[in-house]
Amino acid sequence: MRFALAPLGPAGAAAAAGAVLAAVVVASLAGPLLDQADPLAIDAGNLLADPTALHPLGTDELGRDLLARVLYGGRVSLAVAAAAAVVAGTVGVPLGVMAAFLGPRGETALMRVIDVFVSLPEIFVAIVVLAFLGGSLATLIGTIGLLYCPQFARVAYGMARSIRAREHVLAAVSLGGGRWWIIRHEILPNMHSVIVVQASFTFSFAMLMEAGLSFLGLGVRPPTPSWGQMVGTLKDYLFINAWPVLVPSCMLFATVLAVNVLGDWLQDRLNPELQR
Amino acid sequence: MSAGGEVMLELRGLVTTFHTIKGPLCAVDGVDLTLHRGEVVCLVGESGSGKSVTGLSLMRLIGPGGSVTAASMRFAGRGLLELAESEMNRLRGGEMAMIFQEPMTALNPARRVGEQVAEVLRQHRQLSCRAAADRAVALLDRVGIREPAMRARAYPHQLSGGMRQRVMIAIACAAGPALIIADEPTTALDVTVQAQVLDLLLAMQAELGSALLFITHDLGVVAEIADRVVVLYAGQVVEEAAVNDLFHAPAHPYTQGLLASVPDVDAPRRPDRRLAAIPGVVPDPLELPTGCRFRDRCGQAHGRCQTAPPQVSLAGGRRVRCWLHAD
Amino acid sequence: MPTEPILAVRDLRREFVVRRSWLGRPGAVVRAVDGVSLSIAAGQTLALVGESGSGKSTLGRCIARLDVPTAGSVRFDGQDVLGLGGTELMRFRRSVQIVFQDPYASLNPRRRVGQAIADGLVIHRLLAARDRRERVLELLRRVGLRPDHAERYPHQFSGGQRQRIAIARALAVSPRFIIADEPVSSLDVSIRAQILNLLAELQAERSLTYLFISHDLGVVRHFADRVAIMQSGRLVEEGPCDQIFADPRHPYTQALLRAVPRPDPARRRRWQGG
Repeated sequence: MRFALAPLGPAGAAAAAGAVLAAVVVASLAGPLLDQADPLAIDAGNLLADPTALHPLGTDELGRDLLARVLYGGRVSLAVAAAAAVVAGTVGVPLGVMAAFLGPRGETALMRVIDVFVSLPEIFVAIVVLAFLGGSLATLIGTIGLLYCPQFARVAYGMARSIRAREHVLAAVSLGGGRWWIIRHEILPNMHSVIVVQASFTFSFAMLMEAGLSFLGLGVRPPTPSWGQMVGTLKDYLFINAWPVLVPSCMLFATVLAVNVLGDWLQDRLNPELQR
Repeated sequence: MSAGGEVMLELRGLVTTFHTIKGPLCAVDGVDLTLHRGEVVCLVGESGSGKSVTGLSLMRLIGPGGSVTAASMRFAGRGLLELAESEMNRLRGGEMAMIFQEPMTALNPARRVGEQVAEVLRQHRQLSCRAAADRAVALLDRVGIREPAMRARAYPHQLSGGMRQRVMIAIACAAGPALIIADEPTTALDVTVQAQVLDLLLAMQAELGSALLFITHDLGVVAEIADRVVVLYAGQVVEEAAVNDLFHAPAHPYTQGLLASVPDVDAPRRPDRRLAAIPGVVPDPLELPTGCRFRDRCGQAHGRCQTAPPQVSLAGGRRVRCWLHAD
Repeated sequence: MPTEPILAVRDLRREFVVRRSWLGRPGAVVRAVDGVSLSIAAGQTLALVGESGSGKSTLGRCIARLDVPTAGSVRFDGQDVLGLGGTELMRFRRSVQIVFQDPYASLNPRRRVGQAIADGLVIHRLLAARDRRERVLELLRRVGLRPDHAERYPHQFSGGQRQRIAIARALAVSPRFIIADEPVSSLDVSIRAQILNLLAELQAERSLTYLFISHDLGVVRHFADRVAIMQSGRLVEEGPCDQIFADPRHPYTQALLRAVPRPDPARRRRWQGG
């Protein structure tokens, strides 16, 4: 898919991706206000209907307006993904940075723990945890976030280590700067770009994870819509009407693709500065 | 070594411009250069002088972000700018060779060094794999690498900086080039290793009878090896002279300033420890001053310097770009 | 020397472990600094000369306590440097500063120049905020930069200017001893003289002592009072500058001096045939 966008050039692709993402976000936030249809209202006479004037994107298996559900579900999916990315970053970055400053034994211990977590198959762990702890939104966000924080920690660790070896850090040490000074003024400000890029990738992973869990019935519980959940229920009706399941699927696909393209572009933009 | 040999390279009016986000950047602005067979010409300049870009332009190695034009750029009588890329490829590494500053980046870190030498021989001398491999070992021996058969199987990172540079010289000389362009080949080396590598390079050049264009900022090296010197400043040639003339009677204020600011290892210390420094900095290529590009830093600048000075030819094949000599 | 030298290094050793046995015991070691002793009198400049791998930079970092030596002692102003802690260590950090070789790497790209220069003042709580500002501007002026440069970022400056900023940063805490680790090697030839002149002026003005690390013999001869030559972690020759250069005793020193290209074609080392 990325190759299809290639003719646009990296900046063009990024701009297109940015536009798509902006449209999705704006629609999800503002949409439910514009479109008066209630995502939960059942229209029993119009099950799995094709698009009409009344239901611009058709209806689902319970006759609920798909447009409204997709927009509302977008809110949920985006919010869960964003929150999970924030959790992953808030826990992962300090862990990774501290690991870079702990001294050889602490560093090794922490990194091996992170390695264990990274090697776990995330979806299975998520299923088990959610099965035990129940499916509230907070649990969902927390689980997904913590599952991705080791990756964040690893990236932060690698970056912190490489920055720590730079001469301006040595200069700060020679000026009398202690560990906290160095982390605050020398390390963290030079990590902004890496954190932003990692956050964008974590966002798309989290979105897909939430979609997968909701698809399996473990994530966002009905009747609250989320894209993954909608795909999960509508797929069963694929041979009756293929259209409804395509709606949330396309939204998911477009959003994750847009975030990935943007993340790639950000990485290229911000990296040369890093490679000083 | 002598002028009067056959003209190998003739360059007139080289202009190399890069297309940057901030606008066109003219890195080389009208450089003329002539090299004869067997001659060593040093291209001297600091950062922003355009010396490296000149070398790359001659080899047509400037990427798509830049454009190279010249009134004439002829190698052994052939116009270089008119050649197709495939013909240029035949020349590069064959008749025209380049040696770079950082052997670690110029050599392929994933291939054994013997193989990298042999590749040149297969490409440009059409030797068979076997013959090329044998000749490569012989070349490594010629450049002073001990146990060449064993070293040929080494990867670049297993060799020291000096040895890597010797490998670079072997690669450059493998096909017997008529022109060698060396871009700061010894800058990254220790001084004792530098002396050895310079000796080697000059010996190979003498053996092959090639013309050597040696790009550097180190005036000591220039004095050691040059027949003629071309001094670049902010993309232009400011002075050209035979090496003795340049060092004993520099004509351009920039050259004078440079020579005065380099401390001499044989001269006893001055008690005040002051060096005659050229004030100011090299001008930003995107914001060049009108007129003479050196005038903001020149102690002898005067009214006429507001307009660009002409290139003046002096006796003995010397050239200066300065109003002080324009009378 | 009737007075105590300001810096005295005894038998300093710094080893790096390159291979460990499967039990984790050190196997092969590299002796970056292999038993070096030297001393510097206050107000003098000692040049530490050597090629790559000589250990001169490592020695400089050990003296500045940016690296921990494996053995040996460093005494600054009579005090044992390696054992310092707490406020004593902070006082040492004020007294001994270091200027690095690479002006691109030694400044934090995300920190404004004015902030970077004031860092030492902030860390040691030396001045109130307004006085700090004054001090920064004064230092900028002294190193040849303009007051409006304080708001800029390092990438907006040339190499020579960045080195001036690094010098200003080192001067902010009023050190008595500066370790200059190849301070001009990465700079253009015409800029080197400017920076060397600045360092010489500062030394006279502020009674500084310099440890000047370099591989450039021409610069060393011009700048230093005494020279110490290092090879493979060892000190092979040491003495007054003019004496060493005029009459080198150790074969390595002689080889170094022979190899240096002179900026004078009349003094070519080699006969160039053809």
